[in-house]
Amino acid sequence: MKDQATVLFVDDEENILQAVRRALMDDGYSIRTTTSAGEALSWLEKDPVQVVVSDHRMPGMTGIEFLAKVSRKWPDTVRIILSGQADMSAVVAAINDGGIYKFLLKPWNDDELRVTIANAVTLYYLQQKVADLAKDVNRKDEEIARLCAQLDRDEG
Amino acid sequence: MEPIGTVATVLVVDDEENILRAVRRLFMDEPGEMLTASSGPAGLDILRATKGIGVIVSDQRMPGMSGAEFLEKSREFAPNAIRIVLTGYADLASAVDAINKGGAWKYLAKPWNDEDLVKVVREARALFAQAKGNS
Repeated sequence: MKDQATVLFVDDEENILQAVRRALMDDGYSIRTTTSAGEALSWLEKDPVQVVVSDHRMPGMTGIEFLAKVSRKWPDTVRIILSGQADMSAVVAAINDGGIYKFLLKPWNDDELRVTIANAVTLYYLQQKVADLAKDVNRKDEEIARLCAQLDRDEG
Repeated sequence: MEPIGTVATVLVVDDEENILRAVRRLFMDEPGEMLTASSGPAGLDILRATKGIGVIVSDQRMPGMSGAEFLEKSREFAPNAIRIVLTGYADLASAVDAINKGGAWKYLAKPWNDEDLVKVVREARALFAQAKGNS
């Protein structure tokens, strides 16, 4: 299931994107990178992904603004900040508005990044599974209610 | 599994008794149960013994076990609960811990606005119910 997952990275620094690709090279994800949050949003419109990782301080749209949009439009996507700077208000906004899963700091540790991404991918699929099971339970509940109603009619 | 449609119980952890009292008063008229504990370990005891806790609200700075540490440990007993940090202590490292270790869904500042807190807890209860498919 891991090899089908797509992870999207957004950072205005191209060398960071290259380093991230290198770090995750052997993990079997489909990795997409862009220096523009706007471009990332238009990609997501066409092709939703499992995990989005974004820098925070970028020209134009900040990472938190970007992830807040992702959260509203694609709430199932697991969201992570990977930022060189962190201040209190950024972290709080990332939690409250961006609904993030993790706040990672640069420079990162490759192993930690790999584990975090792997956990994020697992979380995505677990959430999907829970949602599917819940739907299944609802469907069965409705079926039971329908059969009970029918039984009542047949008896009456 | 709890009966369908039950409003999730909320657990509030804070080392200050007057905070717990104020929160209890605020939620008096809200549907659903609220439990309180004055430390992380006491909160874990409640989680261990109680089914149906769907929302956990924790202070960050407490003697002994921090809020982030408590929230991290709480996952063992209530993995699907929605976690909220309510703190008067604004510090970068602890905010990062709240998300990375504690898995906080919201990070709220003290003193809080009553309406906001009630709204956030309602949302958290709804989110928990939805995740369970009971909405």
